[in-house]
Amino acid sequence: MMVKNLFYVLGFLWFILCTNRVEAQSLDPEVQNKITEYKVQAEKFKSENNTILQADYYNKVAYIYWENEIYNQAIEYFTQSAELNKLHNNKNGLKNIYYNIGLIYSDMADYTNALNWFNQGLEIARELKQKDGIYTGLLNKASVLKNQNQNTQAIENLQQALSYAKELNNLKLIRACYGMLAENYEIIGDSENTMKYFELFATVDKHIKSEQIKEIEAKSNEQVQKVQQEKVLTEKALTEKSDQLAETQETLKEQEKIAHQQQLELEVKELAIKEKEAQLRNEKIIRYGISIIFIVILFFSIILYRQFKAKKEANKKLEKQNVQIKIQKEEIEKQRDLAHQQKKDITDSIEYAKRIQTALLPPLSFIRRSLPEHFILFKPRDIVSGDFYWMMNKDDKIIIAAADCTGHGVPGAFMSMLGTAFLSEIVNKIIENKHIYSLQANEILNQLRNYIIESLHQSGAENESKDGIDIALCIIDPDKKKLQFAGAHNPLYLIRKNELLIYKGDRMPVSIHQNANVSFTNHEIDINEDDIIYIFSDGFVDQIGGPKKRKFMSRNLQDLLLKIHQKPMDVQEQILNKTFEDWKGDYIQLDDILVIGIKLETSKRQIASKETYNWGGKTILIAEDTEMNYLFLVEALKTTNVNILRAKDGEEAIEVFKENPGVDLILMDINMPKMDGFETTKRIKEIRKDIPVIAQTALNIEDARDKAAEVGCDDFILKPIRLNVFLSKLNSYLKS
Amino acid sequence: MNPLLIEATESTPKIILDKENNTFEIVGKSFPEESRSFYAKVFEWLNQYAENPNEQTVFQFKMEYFNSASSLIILEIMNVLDKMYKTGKKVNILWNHLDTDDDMLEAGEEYSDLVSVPFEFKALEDIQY
Repeated sequence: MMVKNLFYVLGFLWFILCTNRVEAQSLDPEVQNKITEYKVQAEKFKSENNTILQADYYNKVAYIYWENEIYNQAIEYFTQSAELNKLHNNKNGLKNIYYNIGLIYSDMADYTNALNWFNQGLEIARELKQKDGIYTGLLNKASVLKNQNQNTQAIENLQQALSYAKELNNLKLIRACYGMLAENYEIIGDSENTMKYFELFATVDKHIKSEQIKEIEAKSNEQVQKVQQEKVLTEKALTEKSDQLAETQETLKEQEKIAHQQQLELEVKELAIKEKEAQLRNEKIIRYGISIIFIVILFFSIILYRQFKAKKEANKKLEKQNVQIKIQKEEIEKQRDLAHQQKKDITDSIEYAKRIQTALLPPLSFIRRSLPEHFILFKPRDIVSGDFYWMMNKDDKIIIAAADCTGHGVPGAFMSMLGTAFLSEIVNKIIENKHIYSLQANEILNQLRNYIIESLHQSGAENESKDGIDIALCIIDPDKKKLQFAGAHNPLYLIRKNELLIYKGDRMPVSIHQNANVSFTNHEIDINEDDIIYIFSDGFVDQIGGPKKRKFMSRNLQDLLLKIHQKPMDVQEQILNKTFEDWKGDYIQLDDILVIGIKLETSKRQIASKETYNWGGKTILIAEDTEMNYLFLVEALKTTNVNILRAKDGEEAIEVFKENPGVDLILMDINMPKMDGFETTKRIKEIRKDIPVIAQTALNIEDARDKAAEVGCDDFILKPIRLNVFLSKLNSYLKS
Repeated sequence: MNPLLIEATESTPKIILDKENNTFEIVGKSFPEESRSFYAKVFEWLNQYAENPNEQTVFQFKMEYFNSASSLIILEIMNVLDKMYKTGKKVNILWNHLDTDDDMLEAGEEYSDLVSVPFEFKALEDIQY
C-alpha cells in the first residue's frame, strides 16, 4: 500500500514538472499552488474513474489560467473537460464550455475562432430549447461581430437576442440589448435607430434604477424601525440599572448607620471601663503600681490597634469605591459607544433619505431639454433639505418653482416631499379638468395652500403646526412669449436691457394664515428676447457673514445679478456660489440655499443649430473614453456636417493627431485612462502650438479652469454640456 | 415688577423688558436651537406685565436676522401687545431696521398688516448691542 502511494506521488510530481514549466515564471506562487492542487485532485479522480469530478477540476484549472491570461492552457483544459462531458452526454456543460472557449478566443482577438465556438454552443442551446442559453450565445456573437465591423449581422443577432430577453421578461438583459443596438446603429450611421434604442436603453435603465431606489427605501424604513426598537430596549435597561444603583446606595447608607451605632455603644462601654479603672486606681494605687504600667502599655496597644483597624477599614472602603467607579466608568463608556452607534445608524438612514429626496427632484437632463440655458444653485444646509425645486413641461409650457419649506433638515424635507407630490397632482388635475391654456400660476398656489391646510389639519388654533411653504412659481410660454408669476413671500427678478425689475410675491405663506382665504396675485409678463429671470429662497440673502457678521441682503444680490447676468449661466452659478462661500466665511450656513436662473428664449432652439452652423470639410478630434459621452457629442454635432475622429485615451489622442494633420480642433476630456487631458494637451501643444484645444470636464470649475489654461487649453466647457453654448463656442473656432 | 434682562449670544438677541424705566427691546439676531424654550421667560414676563401695564408702552424691535421659527414667536409677542392695545392701553411698536435691509423693512410691514397695534418704522445706520 505504502509503495503504491509512493509511486503515485512520484508519478504526479513528474507530471507537474512537465506541465508547469511554461507558466512557472509568470504566475504568482499562490495561484500556482491552487493550480497544482486542482491538478492533483483531477489525477486522483481520474485514478478512481470518476470522470464527472475529473472534468470539474479541469474546468477549475482552465478558469484560473483564463483569469491569468494564459489562454492556450485555458483552452487546452476546457477542451479536455469537453471530451469528458461528451462521454456523459452532458450537453448543458458542453454548451457552457464552448461559450467559454469562444470568450477566450474573443479575449485573444481571434474573432473567427470565437465565432466558430459560439456557433457550436448556440447549436446545443437551440437543441436544448434553453432560452437564456440562446440569448447568451447571440449576445456573445453580436459583440464579436461588432468587433469585426459586421454591424448589420451584429444587429440581426441582437434583435433575435432581444426577443428572447423579452420572452424571459428580464429587464437587465433587455437593457444590454438596447445598449448594444444603439452602439451598432450609431456605427452604421442610422441616427434614427440610434436615438430610438438609446432612448429605450435610458428608459429601461431609469426603470431598473428606480426599482433599486424602492428597495433602498424599504431597507431604510426597516433600519429606522430597528434602531428605534434598540433604543427602547436600551432605555429600559438603563432605567433598571439606575434603580439597582439606587437600591445599593440605600443599603450602604443603612450599613453605615449600624456601624456608627455600634461604635457609639463601644465608646460608652469604654467610658464605663475607664471610670471603673479610676476607682480601682484610687483605692489600690500602691497595690497595683506595676499593673498601671501594664495598663499604659495596654492602652497604647489599643490606640495603635484602633488606628491600624481604622486605616484598614478606610483602605477597604476606598477599594470598594474604586471598584464602583470602575463599574460606573465602564457603564458610561458602554452608553457612549451605544449613542455613537445610534448616531451613525440615524445618519446612515438620513443619507438614504437624501437619495430618495434627490431622486424626486427633476433630473438635470430633463430641465435642460426645456430650458437649455439655466442654472440651479442648490446647497442644502443639512443632509436633506427643506428647499426644493420642481418643474413640469406640458405642451411646450414650462412650469417651474423654487420653494422653501419652514425649517430645514428632516422636518423641512418631509414638507418638501408633500410639496413636490402636491404640485404635480395639482397641475395634472387642472389640465385634465380644464385645459392647459387655463393654467394660472396663482391658481396653482391657491390649490397648494388648500392641500397643505387640509393635509396638515391646520385650523388656525394656537398650538397646532403653522408649517408652510414660501415659493416662487413661473409658467413660461415661449410660443406666446408670455410669462406668469405668482409668489408666496418670494419674488421674481427679471433682468431686461441691463435693468432689474422686481415682481414681489404676496405677503403670505402657502399655509394657514390670516389671509388664507385671499387669492394669490397672478403677474402676467411679456417676454422679450434675452430676458433673464431669477427665482430663489431667502437662504442666500439671509446668510450672515462678511466683516460685520451681517446678512447678505437682497440689495447686494440685485447688484450682483445686474453685474453678472450677461455671463454664461454656468459661470453665473459659479460666481454666486463663490460669493456665497466668501460671504459666509467661517460662519455656519443658516438655511438651505436655492437660486435658479433662466435665460428665456422665444425662438425654437433645436432648429437653430442646423441652420446656423455648417462645418463641412472641417475635422474635430474627440478625445473621450466614455461611450455615452462620445455618443452624445456625435449626436450633437450630427447636423453640422463636421468630420469626426475619436481617441479613447490620451495616448491614442496624440497618435491620432500625429496621423491626421488635417485636424482643426480637439475636444479634450480631462479624466481619461493612461494619460489625462491636461498632460495630453501639453504634449499636443508641443507638436502644434496653434491647434485649438477645448477642455471638457465635470470637475470643479475654478481649479480645472486654471489648470487647463496653464497647460495651454484655449477654452473650457463644463459637463454636462449645454447644446447652445457648446455649438456657439465651437463655431467661434471653426467658422473662419 | 423685576426687569427681565438677557444678554445677546451668537444665536439669540439681547432682551430688555423693564417696566420701571419703561424700556422694552429685542435687539440682534434670533435663531435659537429651541426657540420655544428660549422665549418662554419673555412670554411669562409679558403676560404678567399685561395685567398691569404702564401708561404707554413702546415696544422696540431692532432685528438683524431671525429664522422662520423666530418669526412665528415675534408674531406671538405682537399678539400679546395687540390684546393689551385692544383693551384700551396705549401701545406702539417701533420697528427698527438697517437702512440697507429692505427685507427687514418688508417683514415689519407684513407684521403691521397682521395686528392692529400702530407701527412706526425707523431706518438705522447701525444696530449695536
